[in-house]
Amino acid sequence: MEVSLLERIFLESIQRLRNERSDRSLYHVFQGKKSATSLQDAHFYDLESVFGTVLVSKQRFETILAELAQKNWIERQETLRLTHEGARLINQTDRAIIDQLGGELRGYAEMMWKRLSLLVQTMICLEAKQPFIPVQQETIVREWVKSVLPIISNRAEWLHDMQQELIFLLERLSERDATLISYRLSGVQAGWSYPQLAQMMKTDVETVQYEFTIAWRKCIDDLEKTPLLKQIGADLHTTKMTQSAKKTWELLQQGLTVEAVAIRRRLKNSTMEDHLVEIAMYAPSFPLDHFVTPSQQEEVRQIAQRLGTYALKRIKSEMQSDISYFQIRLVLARSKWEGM
Amino acid sequence: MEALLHRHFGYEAFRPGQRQIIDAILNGTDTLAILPTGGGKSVCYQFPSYVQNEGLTLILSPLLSLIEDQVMQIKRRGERSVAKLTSVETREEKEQILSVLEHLRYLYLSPEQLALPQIRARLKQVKIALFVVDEAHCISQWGHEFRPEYARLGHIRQELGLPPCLALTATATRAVEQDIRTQLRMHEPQIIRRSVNRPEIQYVVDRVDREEKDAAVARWMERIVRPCVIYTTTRKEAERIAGIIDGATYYHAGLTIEDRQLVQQQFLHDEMDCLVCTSAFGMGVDKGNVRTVIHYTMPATIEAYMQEVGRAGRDGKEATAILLYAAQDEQLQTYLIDTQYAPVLWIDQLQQGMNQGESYAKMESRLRLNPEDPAYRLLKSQLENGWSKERIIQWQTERKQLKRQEVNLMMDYIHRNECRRTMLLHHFDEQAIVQPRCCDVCGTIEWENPVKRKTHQPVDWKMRLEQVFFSSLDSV
Repeated sequence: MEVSLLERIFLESIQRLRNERSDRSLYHVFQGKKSATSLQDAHFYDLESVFGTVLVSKQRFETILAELAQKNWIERQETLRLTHEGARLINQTDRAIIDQLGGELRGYAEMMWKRLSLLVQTMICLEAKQPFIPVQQETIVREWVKSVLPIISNRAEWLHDMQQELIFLLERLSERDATLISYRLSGVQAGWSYPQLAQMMKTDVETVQYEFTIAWRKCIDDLEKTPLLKQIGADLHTTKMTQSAKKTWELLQQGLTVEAVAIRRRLKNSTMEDHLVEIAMYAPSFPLDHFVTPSQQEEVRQIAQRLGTYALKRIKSEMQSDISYFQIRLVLARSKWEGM
Repeated sequence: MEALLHRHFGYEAFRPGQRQIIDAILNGTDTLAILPTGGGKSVCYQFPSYVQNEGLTLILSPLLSLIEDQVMQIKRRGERSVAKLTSVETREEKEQILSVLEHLRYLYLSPEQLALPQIRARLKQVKIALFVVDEAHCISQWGHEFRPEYARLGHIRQELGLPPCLALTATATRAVEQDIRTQLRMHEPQIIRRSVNRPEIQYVVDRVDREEKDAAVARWMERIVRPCVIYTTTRKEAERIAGIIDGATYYHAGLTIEDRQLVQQQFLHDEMDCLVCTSAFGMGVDKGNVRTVIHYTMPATIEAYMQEVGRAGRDGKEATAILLYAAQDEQLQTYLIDTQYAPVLWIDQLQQGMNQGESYAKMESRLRLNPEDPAYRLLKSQLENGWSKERIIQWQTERKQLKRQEVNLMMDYIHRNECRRTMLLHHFDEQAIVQPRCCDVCGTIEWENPVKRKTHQPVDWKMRLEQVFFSSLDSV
């Protein structure tokens, strides 16, 4: 049976959840919910690349899961898991689709597109003296375009160079991917809607949307040779840490103790713990020994590896020594850095 | 005055009726203007500000898309001092806007925002030159689009010191007109009513068998002149019909915002000449050369029909409206009426929760109610106003009955063997008009020769980039 692109994204994601997380957890990772649990799920289960990139409605999400279950590709209980048939279907391709969605860049690819498409449209229409409907409506995108317009002194030259850069990038893509991107751009002529692209590509609207996401992610993978495009995203950050955890991290780096930071920032104990887990997941270095003894770290790692799990409860019940969930989370968070 | 008009709006002259409304506003008279779609109503309330040159023009509008569209159009004509307060703006953005009210010319608001105490308090501190209520028929329970949030506008206007008021609508029967006047507490208002007649449009109703409908559309597409808008009731239908018509694409609220802009722009610039859409399309879209509007399914009311048909022939040139009907089409509309009101079960559940002191937010998540669902929002506002279950049910029953009557009027239009134009005019208490090129019942339909259409073959990506970057409109 034919597997659609979106179904494949679901199946691959569910496979990585190792039968340990619920449909709700998956939904939150898809939506990019910035809660401690979802960030942790994305990190532990190698789902950083889908984080915040599958923005289907709750209803659609439910429908897809129901269909997958009905086709007997997944089983839905407390947790989600693939059936043998489901696993067989996705193991046929060598590279996972979900690793190409760009979620690890935290909205960078999406914002790059919004800025580029509006800037290109604005430049072309200004040059042609044509009124236009801004292809992006968000205030932050429009403000950004407004702020860079005065910097570009020679429009004709900029347009020429930008076209050359796009040609350079699109040449590295497949014909299909390049076509999608070129038809999505607007100048005096408007770009094509997803339904129109789907018709041209002889596929469905949902598929073409994810094809575009993946194509665009690939397109901007390496911008070293395209300075104009690189400049467009120069101020965008791709850090995974939430703003609040980052603040905590900065204070800790200044030498404040955990307690002092908690008092100063009026953080509840549990919030402080969430921040520390985030820091452990994303910061290049982290004083793990300060929170968990080396022998306990070793014990957690061994259990996790032996059972092949990230389920905190199972790990805790196997532990000989007394350990808190917070400590287990820290060790697991850090293990991605130190190799399991 | 004409010089001001040209400087700010780029028009050479006022359109019929505009001057009369503007004069009334400048005299400080409360005004109710009933202008058909495409009658240039935005000029009526945007213009006086340039003559008075002080005070804020406040514009209440029911739909986010309408507000965004208007703000965009004002900015496009080069006017910068315009802002909007809707559910989209962040708190910081709102505070920023409220802090510069004195320097603003236009402020667009949704009624929900105006109901917020902090916004009202701030508005009391500035001089309001004009209080504009767009789509004013929404205030009337007799109107086809009653909105409970509109019901408080009169009270709020009083709180703001009864600034001069302009109520605008495209369609209002006498009953609705009366309702708007009292609800908005207008003082000896001047009523300006332009005929709803659109002489450039000829009307056709085509009754077909259900299985024949797609074939009928295909047949009409051979005869009519594009650009063409085809209205459907549901999104699914729009998608399906777009699939069977050459060169067509669809537009509905399920598209991404980016897609909606793209499709609108294509249609506006004649890059694409057949748009299949739900009623989500059209608000504020100013395209002059739509030659044909086809209704694949009937709308729920004559008012809605007039509004949608009114998108044809805005440039004053010949246009055609075709309504397709198959037996039982009305059942979808009657069904939709029921879904617009909360089921009795919700009333019981919510009242029970309220008695136990549960918050709405809690109940919404426990009962899986969508806070954005209009039926739920309506019920919530009624409960908040202390309505009893009996009162709500009685109100619902009356409303549903009214709406079914409106569907029946639409059915009457379809089935009665009487001049279509006359029926439409009579609906709005206007005299019949005899004219050539009128309707299928009069037998005066004239067909223009369809123009041979250019078809666009998809090109490769390099070519496409070249077109995007370096082609002007003429070469499209």
